[in-house]
Amino acid sequence: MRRFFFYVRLYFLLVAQYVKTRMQYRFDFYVSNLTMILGNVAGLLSLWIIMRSFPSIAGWKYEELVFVYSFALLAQTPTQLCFDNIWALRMYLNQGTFIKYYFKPISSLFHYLSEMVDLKGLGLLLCGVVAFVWSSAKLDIVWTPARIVALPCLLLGSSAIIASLMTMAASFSFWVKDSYSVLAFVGSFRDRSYFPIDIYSVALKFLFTWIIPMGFFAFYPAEFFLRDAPIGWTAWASPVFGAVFFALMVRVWNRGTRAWGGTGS
Amino acid sequence: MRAYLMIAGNTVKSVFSYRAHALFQFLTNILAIFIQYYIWKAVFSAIPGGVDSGVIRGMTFRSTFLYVSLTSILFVFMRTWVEWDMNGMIRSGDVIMFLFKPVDFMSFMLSNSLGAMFGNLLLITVPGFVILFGVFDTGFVPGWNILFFALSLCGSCVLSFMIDFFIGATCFWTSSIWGISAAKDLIVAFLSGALIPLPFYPDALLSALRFLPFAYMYNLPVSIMVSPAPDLRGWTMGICVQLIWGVALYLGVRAYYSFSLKKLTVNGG
Repeated sequence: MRRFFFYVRLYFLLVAQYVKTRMQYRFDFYVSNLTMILGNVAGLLSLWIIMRSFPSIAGWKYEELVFVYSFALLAQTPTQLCFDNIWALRMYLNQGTFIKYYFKPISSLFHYLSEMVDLKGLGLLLCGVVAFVWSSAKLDIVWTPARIVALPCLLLGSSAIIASLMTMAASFSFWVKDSYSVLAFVGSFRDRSYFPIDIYSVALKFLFTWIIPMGFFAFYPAEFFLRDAPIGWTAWASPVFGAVFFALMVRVWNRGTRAWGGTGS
Repeated sequence: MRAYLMIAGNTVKSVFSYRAHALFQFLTNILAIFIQYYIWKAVFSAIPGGVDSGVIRGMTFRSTFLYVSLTSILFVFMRTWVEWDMNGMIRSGDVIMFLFKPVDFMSFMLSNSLGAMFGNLLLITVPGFVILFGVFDTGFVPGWNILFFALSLCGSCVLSFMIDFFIGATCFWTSSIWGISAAKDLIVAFLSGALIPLPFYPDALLSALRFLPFAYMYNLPVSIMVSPAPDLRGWTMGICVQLIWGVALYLGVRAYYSFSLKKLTVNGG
């Protein structure tokens, strides 16, 4: 437990330094956040364009899809805020600067991630909150005690799945030269995760539930709030998947750090 | 000219040396096609006539699916990271090396970009087409449309480069590359039909888009491929307008680049 608090304190110390350096680039802060917000406005606008010509997608109407979309945004926020350094991992490895993380008496994964906090995640969070409040008001979602307790747990589960998959994708660069395209591949699932999983064929549904669990990014857990009728096991399983994938990710990372040979300089 | 061909050739080679990269881009493409197939199938089954004969704003399920698959394949094809390369060169100061050489920087970047597109074409785009037309029933009838598609695609490549180079030249002014590059991708995707087929857009927005270059990047070549009957006059007109946009953007971007270059300061090495 003491070690846990030590890490929490360390995280805030490291992140505070990073935020100070980023504040030197105010313009970048505004442009990045604005782009983040505009991107989600465009995403919702394209959904609206589809839904104004068509009545529904597999029985789901516009407001319900916006709710799933907002759930996906909220679940992505921790990855965007705290895990964004993974996009730079290939650069650290190819230039050899990654070596410094071996010399500290703390977890290299923790140290690596805590060196950066991506402030455009705040724009993402804002979009998520606005879309969430708007859609749940429109849909008159009844906030029973069960749902209030479930919301943070399910969100945390989805976040853990997304963050773990993305980090595993980035960890490919421990073995191959450039993991960018693997990251972009996993990222492309994230962008489509708000569509109902019911629409896919049996094979794809299996893939999106078990192998690359895109269903748990947003759609399955969001069903818990959208449906009153009995819901399948998928609606509450995201924390379990999150824990499993997180443990797997830590193992992959540790293996990667042992396998990496450095650059020799 | 020979110098520029050499530059383009080198970029093709570098695309080929990152084969794993190309493989995953290809997989991303295929995945996008499959996902789009099921999304639009679900969308069209909710209307009268359904997947087989339902028509909304002149689009059937098959033509919509072909439209969105082609745009997502072309989006990866034309992505050559011009602005990111320029940002790297400007930040590190390496750009100064190119200003000393007897080649024109803009033409150098263009050869680079076209070389990368050629590499993408062989490794990602053509295999994508093979899967698209081999696996799915797209209702595509080959004919004159292939020739006009190829011609307008050349124009799209030029327009795409001009917009990327414009963003790259903006890096002389700011280091906020993620923000401006992502904003560019977003604006282009939304206004060109790469996100949602343009025929579904509200009419007011559509008529505004006719006065912007973006629709000529994706909507023009792709709508040539999906149109049920040949419209040689309309297609020729479209390509002419595309050409005019190409020249206009070239002149504008060239002037902007020369102006921005004055902003450059590189520390002595």
